[in-house]
Formats: sequence, structure tokens, C-alpha cells
Amino acid sequence: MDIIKGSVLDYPETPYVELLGRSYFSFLQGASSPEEMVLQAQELGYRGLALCDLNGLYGVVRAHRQAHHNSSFTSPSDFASSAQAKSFQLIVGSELKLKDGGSVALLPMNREGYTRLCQLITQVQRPSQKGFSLFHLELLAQHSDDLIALALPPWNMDELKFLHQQFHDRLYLALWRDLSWQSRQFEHQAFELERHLGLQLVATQRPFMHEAQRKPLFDVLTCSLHRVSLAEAKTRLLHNSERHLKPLRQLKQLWQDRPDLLERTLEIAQRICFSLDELKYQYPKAAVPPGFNSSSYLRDLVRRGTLWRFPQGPTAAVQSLIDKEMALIEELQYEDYFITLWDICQFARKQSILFQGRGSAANSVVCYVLGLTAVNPEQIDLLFERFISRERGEPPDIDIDFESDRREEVLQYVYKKYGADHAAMVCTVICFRTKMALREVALALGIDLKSVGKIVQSMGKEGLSALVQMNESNLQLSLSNWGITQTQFQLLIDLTRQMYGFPRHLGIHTGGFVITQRPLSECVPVEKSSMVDRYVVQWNKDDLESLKMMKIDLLGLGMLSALNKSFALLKEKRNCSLSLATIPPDDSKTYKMIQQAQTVGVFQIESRAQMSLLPRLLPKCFYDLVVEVAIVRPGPIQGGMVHPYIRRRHGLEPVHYAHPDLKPILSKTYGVPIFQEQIMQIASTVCGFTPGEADELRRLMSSSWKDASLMQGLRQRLINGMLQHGIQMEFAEQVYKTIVGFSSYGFPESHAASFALLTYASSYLKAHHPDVFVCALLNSQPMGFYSPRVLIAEAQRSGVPFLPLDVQHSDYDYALEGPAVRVGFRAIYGLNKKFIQQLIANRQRHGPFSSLENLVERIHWPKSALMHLASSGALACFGLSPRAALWKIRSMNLERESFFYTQSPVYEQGPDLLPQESEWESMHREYRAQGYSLSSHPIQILRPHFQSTKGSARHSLQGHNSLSIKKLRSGQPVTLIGLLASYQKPPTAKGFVFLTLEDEFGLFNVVLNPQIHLRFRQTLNANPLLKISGCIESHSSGLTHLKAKEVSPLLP
Amino acid sequence: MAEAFLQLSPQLQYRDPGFIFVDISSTTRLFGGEVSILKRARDLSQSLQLETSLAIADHPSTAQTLSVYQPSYISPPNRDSETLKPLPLAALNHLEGLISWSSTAEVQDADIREIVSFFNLVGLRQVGDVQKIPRESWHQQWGKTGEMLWRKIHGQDQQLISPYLPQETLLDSLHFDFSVSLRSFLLHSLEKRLQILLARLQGRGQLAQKLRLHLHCEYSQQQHFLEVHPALPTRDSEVLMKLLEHKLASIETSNPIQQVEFEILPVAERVEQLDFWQPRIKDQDRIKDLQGLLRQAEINSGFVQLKDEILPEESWQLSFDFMDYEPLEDQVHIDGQSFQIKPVHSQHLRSAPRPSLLLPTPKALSSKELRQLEFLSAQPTERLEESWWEISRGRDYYLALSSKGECLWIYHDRIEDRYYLHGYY
Repeated sequence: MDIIKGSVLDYPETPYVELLGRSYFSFLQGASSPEEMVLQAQELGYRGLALCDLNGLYGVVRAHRQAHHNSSFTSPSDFASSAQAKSFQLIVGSELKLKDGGSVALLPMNREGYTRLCQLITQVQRPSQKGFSLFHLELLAQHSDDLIALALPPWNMDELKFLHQQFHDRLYLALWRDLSWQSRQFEHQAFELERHLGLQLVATQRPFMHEAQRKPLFDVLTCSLHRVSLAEAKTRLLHNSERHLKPLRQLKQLWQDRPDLLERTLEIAQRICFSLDELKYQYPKAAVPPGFNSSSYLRDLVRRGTLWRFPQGPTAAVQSLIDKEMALIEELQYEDYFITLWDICQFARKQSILFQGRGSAANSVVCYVLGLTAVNPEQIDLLFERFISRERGEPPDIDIDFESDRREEVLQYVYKKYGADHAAMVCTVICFRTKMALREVALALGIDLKSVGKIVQSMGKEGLSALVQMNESNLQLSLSNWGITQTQFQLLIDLTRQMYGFPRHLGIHTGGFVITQRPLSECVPVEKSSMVDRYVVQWNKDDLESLKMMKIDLLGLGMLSALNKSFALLKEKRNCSLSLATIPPDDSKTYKMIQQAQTVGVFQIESRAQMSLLPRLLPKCFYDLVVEVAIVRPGPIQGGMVHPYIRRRHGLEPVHYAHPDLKPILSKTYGVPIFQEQIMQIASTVCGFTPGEADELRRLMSSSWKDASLMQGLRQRLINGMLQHGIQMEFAEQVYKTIVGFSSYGFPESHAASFALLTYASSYLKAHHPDVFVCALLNSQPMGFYSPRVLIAEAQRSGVPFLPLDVQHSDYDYALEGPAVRVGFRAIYGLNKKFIQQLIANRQRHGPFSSLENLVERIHWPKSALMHLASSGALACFGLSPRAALWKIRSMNLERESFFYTQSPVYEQGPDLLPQESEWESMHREYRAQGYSLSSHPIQILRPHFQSTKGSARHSLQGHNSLSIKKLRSGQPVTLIGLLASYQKPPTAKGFVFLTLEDEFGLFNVVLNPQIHLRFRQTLNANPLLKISGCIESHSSGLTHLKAKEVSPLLP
Repeated sequence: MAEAFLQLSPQLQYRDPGFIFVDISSTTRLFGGEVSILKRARDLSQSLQLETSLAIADHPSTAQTLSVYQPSYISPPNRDSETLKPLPLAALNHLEGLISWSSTAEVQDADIREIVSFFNLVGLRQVGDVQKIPRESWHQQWGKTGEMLWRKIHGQDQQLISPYLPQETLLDSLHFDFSVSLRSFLLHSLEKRLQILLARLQGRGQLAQKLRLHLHCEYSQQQHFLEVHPALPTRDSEVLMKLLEHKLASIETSNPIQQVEFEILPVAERVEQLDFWQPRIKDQDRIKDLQGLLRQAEINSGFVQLKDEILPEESWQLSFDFMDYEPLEDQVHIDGQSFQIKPVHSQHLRSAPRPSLLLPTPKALSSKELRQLEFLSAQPTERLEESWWEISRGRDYYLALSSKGECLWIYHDRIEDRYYLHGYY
């Protein structure tokens, strides 16, 4: 880099702005990120860069962020580069392709031009399918003002004339020299046009990548675009790697005959007076009743809400918080935002849709009294700055969870209220993950699909590291198994790494909405999403946040659905009225169940890691649950907070603080930082950070942490701050390490508290109404950590009886029949919901079905659907075994136009020939039909076979199962058999893998160290039924797990 | 390869992927019974280093299934149905015989795999289990497909194997990953491949009149053409190898051989009777004759075929047959009124000016030769880079004037850092 900087100094007189930059947001037609393009341009000493991705402005915010990155923590050593960054001009633009192969790049000269560009892109993208465009030159007639046009070859004279008429002196012909005859031909043509028509020319490099080393990756992307291999790609590939950002010295040499064309880039840049900072977001005016303005109406809502939340009147502290928050909200003019959210929540409330705000919003009393969040400010300490900060100048971020089943109703309400021109969803950039990237690269390298499948299988869940860490002999063996060479393997790894994170296409954010006062397309291009009648903006949530645009997150949460369904079932079947607000607090039975880790199906504390912590933490009150939810996160785990917290909580080690000022912050968590707010408070209290800087620290901890210069700057700020507060260097380092350890991810206390409310509610329901709870959980699938199989087995073990599917009794959902749960039709795989609804409606209207023929005649289902039904055993009511029912349905004539519809076949000898179903076959059929069996567990059937086998395993298998091992002492060898229920390899666990296996008696945990996992990885990936030998490890808290030494498949 | 098995019977049929059906009903006695003919077929496979799986049955479909599930099994005459009984149900998938499922008219009512999976679902596991199901029931359930399967599992599927008349030329080639200088190794490698060609020749009932070899050397694109001409047409590999050994002795192998193409020019064992309607001389024959003459005069001839390649010498080839050239262009996909363009970045290369005389092998320039040239530009006129995923190639092309005033096309090999003369304008 020094050399390059040197060259800039040598040629200070060469001003250059690259006007046709392209990033990987041209989707498979660019090989560098916007940040890389900007950084390279800055380092090469360019005066600016225009990012002109194809048909969109997808990458401009990221480029803008990189170009004008300004942090409180920039270290002094980076002062020069940051000063350079300040003078660097990032130009917004887009290249629009024409059908004949030419294209036009448009650069807005001012805010009006930007609006026109957004509208134009919206106009050509919104009606088109993904990757397609509707652009034609005539469209420019309406949108050409305030835009500069760069016409790219090949040029068509008619098109040029049209462009000249529209753009006059704002039209330029772009030329590049990439050492090809073609560029020479274009150049020759351009010089002619300049001479005869007086058209203006400008130099560019037409860069598709920031550096030449990206050419291989660009070629792979080209192969992906055309769906060919590199060997087949031929002239589809670039013929050389000249299309990158070059040093100014080279540019000057390249254009020594026409230096004016380089200088013109600067002239054009100087004509452009627009930056994304100019975008002023205007939140839509909320509809307020007559006689009110937004401010007075919000105050009125808050007043009414306060009376609702605090019928006895708020405490002085709460009132003071409300006043403080309201003052800030009014100062920052966020009233409309709060009213809008309140309105959406009112809609949900009226429709009986359960919802709850979470995230930083739970730090706000105003949100609590408006009913947006449910965390009582008297229960936890709220840090309002975490939600809204004057210094930060960023819009508040409120996430609201709705019942996942009914979130669509809320989204439709927003669309209906604001209209598609003013409301659109935030996009999510779907990026190449390791496996997807590896597949693309492998196909480009000509590796056949079979081998790719084998390689992907070898990766397992660890990704590339599993391949890279192979020892030499294993690698050679694998290479010959995959049929690839060492060179191909190396290329595969290198290119996959490069491609990782590249955008593949745009998806819809799970619930992010942007709503604007003016039409949205004036601000950001809008395009079609893959869902019907859904539109997305071309920016993701980080982009919107960077530009300080407000978004609202309307998310779906399965547990809210399950809770609402539980409440409805309780009301209907048990005549018991219960709601989130009326669940009895501090229930001992509930906490006892939690302490015993019987939490399968419970919100947030059902994972293996959470369950193993519960008997050690022994939660006794709501705040313990808040800690429990927050502590099993990568942040606290990596920061080594878990064990000190537990030891201090149980008085096994003294609580001490690095500085007395930390005591008020950390006393409630025994001196151990667990929540994000605590980190921010430490930074404010003992490091001298302003609240805004503390918030920037929070954002850095989750996003830009890897930026080395920022890290250095941050370290200096933190250490200097602490030294100034009289903290010794040794302690200062310790606090810094704690913050770094916390960096990965941690919950804010308010967010953990919101979740803990749902944790408690779901625990209460499980403890007191297990049948209702499991029924509601099963009706809210897919959700949570465990499959219906595990949930049902767990409920059966706790005494909840289940009734099988029955075409005469089952509903679509699981239902309560007396004390039992009746399996619903939703359990059957691959059965259309509409068919089921039709069957149920028919049964309700015309009564029970008298026979199979009667059923078939009445519901008119296709044969395949009827066979699904027969396979599930739902036709047993007709006295038919599943096999006989299958045979009978297969034999039926079900062509509707036939006279013989549903008539039994003339030859019905088939069923007599069918063999009797064994217990294993019956279980197997049920697993295939619905994923579980009510009558038997596979391990239950297999266990007698294994007990009778000879060998060393026999002794340990006899009598040992998930229940009996709890009585064994630590270190005792044992072999267990089970069905894999969960498989986890947390990134924080240093390669350890945690399995949960299930047998007919319950669940048991297995731990594999990295070596054992590496040895048996293939077995684990390929077999759900496992035999695991190892030794018992038991903990004083009652926790027992099997430390695996050998894993083998249970069935050959 | 199927041709080699013609020696077992002239009635032979080949079907993708890799099935050869031979009707041995009329030749079994000739070979001493079914056991010996099976052994003969196995020996032939082994001599040709083929991994084969063989079986004998009354019907091609049964034989195919047995070759998968009971290799080397000989089903007793008229007992195909019994033979199939103990096989697993998945064997139904292999009952195709001469015609694959995809080309079978009857396989339209149901997919065979779907039938197998249904039987599995209702607990029927072996072919014998489903043989009990009456024909009418098969028809009822799966229409014509069911009827056809019923016939096949009951040994009632008659398929006739027609005589096979081979048309393909007797050509083969051999590429060495590591180039070969050792003549004995070269001969050894050739012998195996030659035996395959001779086996094909034997299957056809023909003899080798000539053996032609085209050897490509590793460096400088040097080539050798050899022709072995036995005194009498023969199929004796020993004779041909001996003659070949003599011929090989005459060439210099210090530039190692990387690839060999060889061809047998056959002659019939007996005089063929011409079809009355068959024209005596076709245009193609005339072209081949002309090409033969040119080859005798050591002139390489053919049609110039353009190719979409980056490097100039690879962007065309001589093709013996004329073929239409469809150049790669930008792909424009239309969806209603909207469109998507997938660019072909280097399509312009095919219209780039190329010298009228392109050297078949670029000539390396010494520093002395280089000093005598006058380069017309400091910047290269063209930069071509290619195949980084195999052996990276990168060239900067320049125009230069020789001392005689010739306009030369020079390139600088960026990998080797050497200059080459590639052509004359």
C-alpha cells in the first residue's frame, strides 16, 4: 500500500473520479463489495467513485457508509486516511441495460435528480420478475432532468440522437482501454462522434472488480450466471483482468494522448451536488382525532395508558421517566411514529391477536403505557438512552412480535392503511453461505454433482473448516473419493471463501416495514418481491438505519400463537379465563418445574444449554428468568460470565468490583456483566463515554468489531477513560477484556425481560395445564427447538394421553377430547389444508362417514391424498388395516367423469394377499406419514434385539436407558441407544458437540469432544438411530450426561 | 464395444447405459452350451478389461434383472418366472430389456418406481409376492403399465433381438498424463487399446488392411504420422505390434509423446454384396478420397471451423466434416415486456484482426532477434489471459516491424516472461 500511496504523491496533478464503479450488487456481474470498491478508490488516491450497479441502488448506502465512515473511536494513526475520506466524493448512480446490449448510466446531479432516478428504477423494476428489467430509452423522456447520462457502447446512432436531445450537455460517451481490439474500435467510433457531432467523451475503467486478483472469482460468477463450467464458458469470460481500479500512474500512462478525458471525470463529479445525507426521512402524519395535533394526541394516549397500567397512579419515579421520555420524543418529533405503532397494536388488540414489543423499546415507559411492551418499569431498571438518544440522532427501533399465524393480518392492515406507494417491506440480502458458494464454485470448476454432494456431506455442519483441517492422508483419500485434484481442491476452498457473503438475491425481511409521507419511490427504488403483491425497497435494515430512516418491525413469534391458543383452549374446554396479564406470578409449582429442567417446549429455556444451566442456576423469581434468558448467549459465554455468576449467586466466591463506581451497575448481577445496558453503563461511568458514545460502542460490539483501527481507537478511549477515573492499568485492562469478551452478542436487559415474561407464561401453562399447552404448541408448529415427536413423547411421559388420527373425529388441529389430546389432520405430511377443511365441513354437514366408499364419494379427493390419509391410519374406523385401505383406494376408479366412480374393483383379491404389519413396520409407516408414532418408540422395539446380542456392549445395554443413567456414578462406562433429537455445535463451544438423544423413557444428553466428533462425524450425519458408548459424567446439581467415546449406527 | 460380442452371435442389441443383449439361441450349441458361452463372454470382457455383469435367461428383461441381482446366473429354460420369484421388489425397476422405460409406450399410466414404492408400503417385498396378484388386478391398478409388468414377471414378455450391423469407424486415441519417451511403454499402452479394436474387427468379421497412427509430441506441437501395412490383411495383434515396433524405431522420441490417435482401415473377410439401391459413390466418399489423397501428400486438410476460445490458435480448428458454427452471443431472455441480458464478455474476439499467416507453433524469439524488431506501440494491442484454473496463460500482443519490413505479430508470455513470434500480417 505504501507503494501505491507513493505513486499518488508522485502524480498529485492527476485528478480522477471513477464514474462507472460496479459492485457485487450487480448480482453475479461484479466481484467486489461496495466497501472494497470505495476503499480501493480511496487508497489509490481517486477523488471519488460513482457506484453504478445494474438496475438498482442496492449497494450505494454501504458505499456511502464506507466513504464517510466516521467513528468516535477512530485512532489518531488513521487521521490522515479519515481526512482523505472526507474529501472523497461518493456518487450515486445506476446502469440501466438496453435490450440491444448497450446501456446508460445515470448519475443524479441533485436531490431532484435522485428522486427521478429512484422513480425510473422503480418504474422499470417494479413490474418485472427478479433479474429482469423493463427499461427502454423512451422512459428517459420523463426522467432526464437533473441527471447526467453516460452512454456505454455499442452505440446506436438513433439512440445517441435521442439521448442527446434529452440530455444535451449532460450526455457523455464513456470510453475505456482494457487492452482489447473492441475498446479500440469503440474509441475510434467515439473520436469520430466527438469530431463530427461534438459529443463529449469521458474516460472510465469500466471496473467489474476492485483489484485484478478478483478475476477468477468474476469468472466463476459469470459461470454461475450462464450455468456453465469454466471449461465450457469460453468467450463468456472476460479475456483479461484489466477491468479493475488501477493506480493513477497507470491511468495517466494509458491516457497520455487524451489526458483531458481523465480530467473530465472530475468536471462531471463537480457538476454533481448530491449526497445520500440529504435524504430527509419524513414519517407519515398519523391520523389524529379533530382538535388534536400529533403531540397532544400522543400525550393524551400516554395519559390514558398510564391510568390503565397504573390504576393507583404511577410512582413519582415512573412519572418522572414518562415526562423525560415525552420531552425527548417531542423534541425529536417522533410523535407520529409512536401513534402509528399504537394504532397497529390497537388493530391487533381488536382482532384478539396477541403481541408484545421487545428489544430496546422495552426500555421505554411510554411504550409500556401505550401497551406496545409489557415490561413493567418497576420490575427492572430501564435505560432510555438504549432506546432513543439525542446524540445518536437515530430513529427509535421498535420490534413488535405478533402471533406468527396471524401476523399476515397485521401486515395487510398496514398495506391497506398506507397504500403500496407509501409502504413497502425492507429487503434482506440473501447471501451465498458456505455450502451454496461451494456448490457454485464446484460446478464452475467442472466437478460433477455427485462429487459436490459428497464434499458437502463431508463438510457436515462445520463448513469449510472441516475440509481445511483434514490431515494429509485423509485429504488424499477424500480427494480420490471425490474424484478431484489437489489443485481443484485448493481453488475450491479459496474461491468459496471469496464468494462467501456475496449477495445472491433480495428477499423480504421478516417483518420490517418502511412507511413514508411522500411516495416511497422518491426516496429509494422499490421492486417486486417473490411473494405475490409484495414489494420491497432495495435497501436492508442496516442501510435504512445508516440513513436514519424509520422502520417498524412487525415480526411473527410462534410462542405468542401457542399462548393465545392455550388461553382459547382453556376458556373453551376448561372454562378457565387466563391471559398474559392474569397468569399468577411467582408460582412455586412453575419454578419447581423450571429448576428440574423439565422445560421441553417452554419459550427460550428449552435448548440443551439452557436446560443444563437451570438446575445450577435454580431460578426462584422473575428476575432469575431474565438472567437465565440473557446468560446463555454467545456474549456472556465467551466472556466467561456464566460460571462466576453461578458461583457468586450461590455464595461460593466473593463478589468484588474493579472500581467502586461499578457496584451500582453490576450489583444486581453479582459483579458480572450480563446485559448490554451494563456494558454501556460501565463505558459511561468509568470510561467517560457520553450516552451516545456508549450506544455506538454497543453497535460496534455487534457489527464492526473486526475493524482493527476502530478496535485500537476504542481500546485507547476505554483505557484512557478508566485511567482518568483512577482505575489502575491492571483493572482497566481487565474491564476492557470483559467488554471485548462480551462483544459477540448479548441481550439488552429490557429485551431479556420481555422474553422472560413469555418464558414464565409458557412454563406456567406447562406446569398446570400440560395437555392444553402441548395441544397449543402442536397447533403452532413449526416453532421452537423440538419436533412434534419430542413434544408428544414428553407430554406422554408426563401423563397426557393421546388419541390417534380418526377420520370420524379428528379436526385440522390437535384437539382436546376430555383429558386426552386427539391428533389432528395437520400432522399428516403433504396433505393439502383445503382438502382437510373440505372433509371436516362435509362431516359436520352430513354426519359420520359410513364406509370408505362413502367417504371417497363425499369428499372427492384425488387418489394420492386419500392414500396419505390411509397411510396415517385415519381410516381404521372402517375396520380396515392401513394396508388394506391403501390397496382398496389404489384399486378405485377415481376419474370423475367415469360412470364407475368409486365403485369397488371387480377383482378384490389383493387385500387377502397382503401380509400382516409388524410392530416395526407399523411404527415405520406412522413415522413416514406424520413423523412420530403414538403406539411405540423405535428404541422400544429395538431394545430387546440389542439386549440379546453378544459382546461387551450387552452388559451395559441391559437395563440402562435415559432414566437409569441418572442413578449411575460419574465415570461409569455405559452404552446407550437412542434416536437423535437435537445436534448442536455452538461456535462458542471450542469444537465440542452436544447431542440430545431420545429413547422410550425420555431424553439424555451426550457430549462429544472435538476429536471424537471428527472421528464419528459421518456416522452422526447419516444415522438418526445411534448406539453411543462412553462414560457418565454427573454433576452435583443432578445433571447427568454421557461423555461419548464411540458412536455407531444402531441399524446396519 | 458391443461389436466385440458379435463373435457370440450376429443378433445383438446395445442400449444405453451400457446394456448389451445377445440372442444366443442359435449359437449356444456352436460354443458348447450356455455355461461355455457365458464363460466365453466373461473371458472376452476380461480381455477387453471391461467390468461386466452377465446373466442368461429366456427373456432380455429377466436377463437384465439377473445381471443386477444374481450376476452369472443362468435361468433354466422356461423358468424365468420362477427365477424372478426370490428377487426383491426393486428388481421390477430393472425389467426393461431391449427398450428402456423412458421409450416404452406402456409406461405412461404409472411410474415403475411408484408401483414399487406402493408395494413396499403395503408390505409386499419380493417379486414372488406380487406374482400372486391376478393379471386383472394389475390392469385395474396400473393400466397398461401393470399389464406389461405382469407379463414380464410371468416370463411372457417376448422381445426380439435383430442382427447388428456396425457402422462406426475403428478409431481410438490415447492421452498420456505424463508424456512418454520410452518406446516399450508406448507399445505396451498401445497394445491393450489395439486389442479392443481388433476384437471389434473380429466381431465384424473384418481384417485390418492398414493401421494408421498419429502421434502428438509434448513440445513445439511436433507430430509423427505412421502407417503399418501388413503384407496381408490380418487380425493378428502380434504381427501388427511387431510391425509397429519397427515403425516406432524410426522416429525420434526425445520430444516425448503426449497423445496417440490410431485407426484401423478394415477390409471384409469376404466380398460384400452391394445393395442394389445404394449409390456406388457418395459425395462424402469423394471428400474422404480427397482427404486421403491430401493426407498421402502429407497435407493436413479439412474445413476451417471457428471456435469460441480466447487464445487465437485455439479459436479455430480443421474439421473433417463441415459443421455449422453458432457463435456465443449475449443471451437475451424475454419475459413479457421485460428482459434480462447475460453478457458474453469476450464475444468480440472472433472479429478481432488476426494475421493472415498464423504460425502453428509460436516461435520463441532470442534476445538478439528481439532487439532487431521495432515495436509499433509501447502498450500491448491486446492482452489475453486464460485457463487460470488449469495452467495459467497470459499474453501481451504487440505489432512489430522486422528489419525486412514485415509486420509481425509478437506476444510476450507473461508467465514465462519470454517473447514469441505468432504470425505475419
